[in-house]
Amino acid sequence: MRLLLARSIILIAFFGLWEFASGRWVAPIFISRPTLVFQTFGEWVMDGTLFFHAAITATEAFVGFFVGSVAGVVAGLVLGRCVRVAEVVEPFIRGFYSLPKLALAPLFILWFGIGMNMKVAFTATIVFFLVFLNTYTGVRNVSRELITILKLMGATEQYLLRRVVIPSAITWMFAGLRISAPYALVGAVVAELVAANRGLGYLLASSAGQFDTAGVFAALVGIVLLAALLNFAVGLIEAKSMPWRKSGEMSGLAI
Amino acid sequence: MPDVEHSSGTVLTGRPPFVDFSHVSKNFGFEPNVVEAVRDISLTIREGEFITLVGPSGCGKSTLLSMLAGIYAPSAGQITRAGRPIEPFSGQVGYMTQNDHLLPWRTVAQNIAVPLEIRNLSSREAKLRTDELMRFVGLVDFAKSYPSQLSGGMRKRTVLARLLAQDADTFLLDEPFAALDAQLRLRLQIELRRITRELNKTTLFVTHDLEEAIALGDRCVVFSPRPGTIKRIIEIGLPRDRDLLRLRHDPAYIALTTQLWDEMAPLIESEGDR
Repeated sequence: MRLLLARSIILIAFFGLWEFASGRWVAPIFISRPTLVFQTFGEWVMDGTLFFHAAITATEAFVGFFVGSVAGVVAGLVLGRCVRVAEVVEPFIRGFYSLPKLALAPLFILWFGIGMNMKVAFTATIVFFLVFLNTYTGVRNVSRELITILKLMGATEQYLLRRVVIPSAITWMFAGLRISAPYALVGAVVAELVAANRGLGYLLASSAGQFDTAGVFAALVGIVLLAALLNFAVGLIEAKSMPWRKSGEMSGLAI
Repeated sequence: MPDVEHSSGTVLTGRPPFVDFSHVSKNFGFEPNVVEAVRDISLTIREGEFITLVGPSGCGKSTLLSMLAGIYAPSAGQITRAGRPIEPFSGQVGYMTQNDHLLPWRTVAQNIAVPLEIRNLSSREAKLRTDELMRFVGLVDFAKSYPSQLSGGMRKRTVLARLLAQDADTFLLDEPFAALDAQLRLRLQIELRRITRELNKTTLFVTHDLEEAIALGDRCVVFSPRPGTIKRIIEIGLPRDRDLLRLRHDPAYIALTTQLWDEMAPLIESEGDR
């Protein structure tokens, strides 16, 4: 309760200061003013502009996230279990990983145009590496001794993968998914900034192009809200997928 | 030495040989960086025999177990089990180490059922067998607990029950009780002797604890290090149904531990502070 109060005070003070400073200390062209920002935001909500662009950005982020994470999980599992192959391809992956993904944007425009496909490809590339590296680490982290003991029991590779490796690595996979979820949005927005004619990134860029500072801030608010929604969804899925972690925590509390 | 002990010692000598190491050596690495782990090990183990292996760290005891399990092949020599060469991952060899390696997302009962699942038992059969095993090792009240909710001793019992569920005829135990406190260890030692004797499991048990090596073993194999070779085999000759709780005051037991200490002392000394 006190936490909530403290946060409210900070928020009110921040907006108060902003409103006060605007036009007195700093020209409104740079920082606009909160009332104007919320007015613009309100207008976008009322006429549906916000939902139209947010839906496009969300779709790009979601599809890119989905494609990238599926590819990342599969590649992580396969390479995690085939150490020989992993050893061979490691330098290629490392090289590709160290390439700034933004540098790929022009190539993707060339391949996919400036429509949604290019944003999806861009987002998927970013998500892929984060999920892949986490899944791979998770798989490699499964105790070799445990694997040996189960193999001595006669366990097949399929059994190990299904009953041991995937459940063991799932914490890591989720860490990867969790980390990459915000990056999916980053990917979509950045790709829209590079080249687009719709989406929140486009809204942001076009507002800035028209020196509509209130519009820039309003678009940022939209992006923040979308990001919060995304994080909430990931947290929800995570809690649903690993119920045993909860039971462990409960026993910890009981002691 | 009293007659009883002698006769019970000879019960085993009448049994057929089950595991045979014949001039087994193992090298790791490639020229010029070859490490000789064990050299020219010959050892015949009878069916149902409990062999303890002692020796300084890095003397190849665990290597010997791994080769018997088929995890890797010897560089020279031959190993047979039940009269046949080692088949890797046949399910006939059970392995247990210092770490529990239970699956944290499974309950005790589900963990014990892992080898049954692997062998594709029907769920009804698996349930019956799991219940039986939990009674056997005293885990009935913990069937639905997760490993994180168990004490160290209960986790060990779960691992033991899982090992039994595998139905292997050979047990390879690599310091399974090393991390436990003394009383808990004694209780599990009693349990292990009972289980291996009742179910006639051929057992190789690696330990650093010399008292444990004498208390549990039918024979104790002393290794000397670098490369690992057999220094001495001590016939323990204590009764097979020995009472581990009273053993401490048994003169035969005391004489044997003294003998083993004397064997080990020069090895420990030469090891220095390496």
